[in-house]
Amino acid sequence: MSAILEVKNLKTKFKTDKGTVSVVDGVDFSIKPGETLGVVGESGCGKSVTSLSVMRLLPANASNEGSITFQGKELISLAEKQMQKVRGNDIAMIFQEPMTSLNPLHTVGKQIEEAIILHMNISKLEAKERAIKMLKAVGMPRAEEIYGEHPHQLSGGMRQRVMIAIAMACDPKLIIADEPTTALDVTIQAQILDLMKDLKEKTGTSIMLITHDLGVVAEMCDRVIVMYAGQVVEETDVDTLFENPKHPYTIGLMDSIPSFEDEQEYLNTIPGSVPLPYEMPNGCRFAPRCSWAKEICHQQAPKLVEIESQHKCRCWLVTEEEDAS
Amino acid sequence: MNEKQPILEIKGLKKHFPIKTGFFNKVTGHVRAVDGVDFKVMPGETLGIVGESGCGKSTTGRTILRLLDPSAGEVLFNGKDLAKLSKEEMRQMRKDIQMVFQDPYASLNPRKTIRQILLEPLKVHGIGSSREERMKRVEEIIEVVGLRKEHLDRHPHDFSGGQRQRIGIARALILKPRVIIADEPVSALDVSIQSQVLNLLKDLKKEFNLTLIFISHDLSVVRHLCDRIAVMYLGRVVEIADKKQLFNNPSHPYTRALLSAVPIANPKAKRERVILKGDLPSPANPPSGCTFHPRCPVANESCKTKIPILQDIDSGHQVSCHLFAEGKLKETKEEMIG
Repeated sequence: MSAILEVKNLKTKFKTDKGTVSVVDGVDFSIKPGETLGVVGESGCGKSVTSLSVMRLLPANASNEGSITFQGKELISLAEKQMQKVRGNDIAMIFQEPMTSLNPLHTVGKQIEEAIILHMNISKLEAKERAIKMLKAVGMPRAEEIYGEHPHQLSGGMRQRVMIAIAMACDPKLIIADEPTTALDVTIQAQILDLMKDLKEKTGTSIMLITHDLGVVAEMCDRVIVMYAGQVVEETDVDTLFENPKHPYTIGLMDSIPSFEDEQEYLNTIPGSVPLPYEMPNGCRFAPRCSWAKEICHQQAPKLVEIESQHKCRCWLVTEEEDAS
Repeated sequence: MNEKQPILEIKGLKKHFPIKTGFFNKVTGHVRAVDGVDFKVMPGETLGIVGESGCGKSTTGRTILRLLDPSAGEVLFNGKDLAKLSKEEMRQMRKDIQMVFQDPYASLNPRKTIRQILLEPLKVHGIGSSREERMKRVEEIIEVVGLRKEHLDRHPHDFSGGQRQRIGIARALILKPRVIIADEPVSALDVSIQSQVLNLLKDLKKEFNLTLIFISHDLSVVRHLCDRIAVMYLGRVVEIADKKQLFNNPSHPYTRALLSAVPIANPKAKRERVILKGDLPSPANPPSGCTFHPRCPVANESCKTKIPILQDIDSGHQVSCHLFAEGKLKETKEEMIG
């Protein structure tokens, strides 16, 4: 099956007072139709910038290199007018903060209709019907009333349902969800994840799910890329990621979460913190925090290599092991 | 544990915020943020308070320290009622009970150096006879929390989130308090940094023989750190038990739903998930009877009218639910928590 979205060697740079900073540095990944791809990493690893690059929503001081093809169409060089037709119609986005991403001055109904009227050639009345249908589809009680309400009248979970309704309104082929449940309480998070799974099954859209929560990844994703300091360090299917993680960063990340299952006195930690974008180490970017780092790790940057079928890893230790055997 | 005296005992604690409307600020109602909370904390124990946003867990913490004045109830610290102390007496008392706040970006004064920030509590409480002695204590404490002396003359913006939280902890610790109330101290941090801070808290607790009240929304963090856990819903404690009892035998329907909602980092884990309908009701207008009944999957008619009270179901395990008291709710199956 050919990929719906293919990102190749994506580099995103920002011009700042301290010079040009490379935030995303050579990211490759692809998403197949109907697949949920998880993008995992901690703050500052470039996961959100990657998604904004795909949507072409970066601020003016940013520049993109590389290639982003959506259904065979190159997005990076697409004219803004053409890009508008893709946004909301083919690729939709769900943001983290449902309060700041909805317009407080417009009713919920109007905000859902906006995309429908823009992209679908239908009358206002039909658009309203569709908006109410969408509200019902995302499990809103009293859909007709909520259609006329403003965002501040809704709770956080309901606002996120509205965001999902807007995203789904034009039957997009791909939804990019950037930390969609991070601002929500666990019981509400469970409702929203359930809803997203349900909608995905019904419509068959692909989802790119950006999150820092490995629990959410385990529950939602088919395949996962782990990002560190602007690069993909590991890519594999979800079962392999949890059973047989290879990259020391992935392993460290897994070990730092307190689990429900085992009893341990102390949690494993990753010493230090993420390097700043203008102070990137020369060799492997994780080497200063890696407890297994060898000489080569500090000198030369490793490449993302396929170590098993469908399992890629960016680490000297893993690739050397392969060479030896 | 029973023969020991609790270091902190909360009885019927309430905090109601008035809702004022109109030109004359007429009080038209109350937000019952904390509505009758009882619990005890033993010396050296770590008590976790969990619940979702708006359940009153942070208000409880702040009311204990009198950062907010309680509307009713008692806070007994070593037998002395903190709720009745004057402002000045309470100020002195805070030497023994300190707080660590959630947001390490907002709780440190950006214009002061770390040295000034750490000296402040010593000056306020008149600790140390000379400047040198206070300095020595500041230099000791910064190393205890895993930073170095060189860091003392920098400002908060020079530090990462995890380092700032270490400074927040050092500031609370420098007075050698008996009790620390930590309100979501790790929820603003990334997981790899979160685990560093959690390990530090564990170490400090042992080293200084601290009693810790750990307020959090994150059940796995609470499970890792705490000895006993209180679950709050709409201003009340609905269940309180030892960690093991709570996780192996969650008894209140809300606790069961809460535990089952946590995503587990294991794609093969299969379990029954209880998905609650609807949202948390407003504490300004809580539902009648058991406040959980509109969302409860097993509620019956009597839940709508009768207010349940916290009752013992096992030693050290209390639940506030009619159905459990009447024996209608059975023991949970182990597999629910995976």
